[in-house]
Amino acid sequence: MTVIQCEHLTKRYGKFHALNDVSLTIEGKKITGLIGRNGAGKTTLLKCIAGLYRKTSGELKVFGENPFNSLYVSENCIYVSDEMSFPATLSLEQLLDMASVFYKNWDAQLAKRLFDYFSLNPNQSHHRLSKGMKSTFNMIVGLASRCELTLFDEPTTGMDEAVRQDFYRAVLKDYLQNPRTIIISSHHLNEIEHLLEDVLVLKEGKPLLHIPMSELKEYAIGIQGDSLLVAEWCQNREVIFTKVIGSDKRYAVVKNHVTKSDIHRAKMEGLQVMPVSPSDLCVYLTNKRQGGIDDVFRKDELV
Amino acid sequence: MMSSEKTNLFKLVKKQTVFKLKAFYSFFTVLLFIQMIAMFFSYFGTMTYGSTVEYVSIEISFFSADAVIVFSLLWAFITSILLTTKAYRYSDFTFVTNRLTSNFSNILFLLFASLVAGVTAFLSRYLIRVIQFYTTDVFIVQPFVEPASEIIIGISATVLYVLLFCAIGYFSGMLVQMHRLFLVLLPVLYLGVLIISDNLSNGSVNPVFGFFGLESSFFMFVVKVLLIVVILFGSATGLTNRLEVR
Repeated sequence: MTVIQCEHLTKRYGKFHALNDVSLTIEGKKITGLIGRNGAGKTTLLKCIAGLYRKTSGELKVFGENPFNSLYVSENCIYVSDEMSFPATLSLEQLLDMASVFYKNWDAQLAKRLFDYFSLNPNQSHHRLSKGMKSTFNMIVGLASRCELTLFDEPTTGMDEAVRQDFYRAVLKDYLQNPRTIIISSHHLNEIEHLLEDVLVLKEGKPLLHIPMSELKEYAIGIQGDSLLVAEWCQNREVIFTKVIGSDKRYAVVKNHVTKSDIHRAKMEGLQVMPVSPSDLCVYLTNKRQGGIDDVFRKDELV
Repeated sequence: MMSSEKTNLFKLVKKQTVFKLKAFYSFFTVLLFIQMIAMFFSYFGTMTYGSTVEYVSIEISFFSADAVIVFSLLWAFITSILLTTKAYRYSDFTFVTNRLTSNFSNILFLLFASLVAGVTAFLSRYLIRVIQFYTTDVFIVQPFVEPASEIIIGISATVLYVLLFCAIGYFSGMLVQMHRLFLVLLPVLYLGVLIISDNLSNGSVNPVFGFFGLESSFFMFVVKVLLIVVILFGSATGLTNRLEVR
């Protein structure tokens, strides 16, 4: 079942296109990772889906409705981010009670258990929480609301390593018990890799890739070795990233249209062939140029 | 679809209003505090005339709850502006809402607030008299017990005035939320209207105040206030129906 459908969705702030002609479909009961650099349009896309932002043009349907001002979407969708606003006058415990009034699938038991596990103080005000604690509390609201569409926008902001790992585990466990559509935007793809079924990579307001995680793992391969040999090998191949290592070596990432015999030949020539981790691949894919940060510091070669 | 029944708009507005009454109770604490300050002012800041004829000295003091009412109007204006600010508006969007229900529940909250502020402000006149009676040696001329019809009219008029200020504050606040420029434009506009109307009035009552204050028929007064209130709340709701949550 299709939960989210965009056709030529565009969101402009003045002249800046935060989302530029986005067309995509997200099917239900899947965990999708939303990956992209800062300013790629991740938050804008999620806020459009949640009905917080108004689209500039194009089509956007969530549960078959335009999410902006849709009560149905608001009821069945929760957007979790560090910007979540709670009244300062209510304690955390009261906030959970409030959430249970509004969300019909609210799982009070889960909320209580997570709340105790992360040892939050029920009498504290949301405004007095530390950054990581805020994110933890927001995550609890996000999970316990059990909305058919759950959007996590960089949910782990400020969380320490241990809490992050717990969070990912909690998402997975809860998803397995209550399958629903979850989108997680994150900068740490390596951390959430194992959760994701699909990956949606955004670059400059456009979807670059929208493929299953398993495909992303085999999307590209890395070649390393003598500069000339690597350059020769890269000819007529789609190079995603390349960098110089030491004085005469080079590392290149190419799209995986390579046959087994190709790899065999490369190994015979003394080249190293290796898989590229999805996390690294996404960084390479979303770079503005092929060389990355090293280029900035190499004045001599640019002149 | 997972849950076929459509969300009931009125049920949601009710939920949100209850939520707001719980979450924003601190506004009422502020009201209590402000009204106490105002009573303090009216206790000491009374207008007093004195005259002495031979061995008799007469002193006439005027006590009124005007200060309490004025302070309550100010409170209403500021409270309703605060409701339109991001911190308050966005907490709706953490839970279930759309812009229409959010506005409706705000208006219901302000209706309740006007009722509380109006009734307490009006009744404070009796409290002031009681305090004066026990703490000073004045002879209270006005009776403690007034005809019910007068009390009802007094309370209704005070509530309506508070509601009017809520509506003005809410409308102004929402305009500012739509565009920062209104932050400058509105005070200029409001003051401008008052100054111009004052100039046109040739020394008599300013027509802007006269529109409500000089109305001799209570029924017409109610109609006038409610009309303006509906227009202001209606425009605020209509204009912000496309406002984004940033």
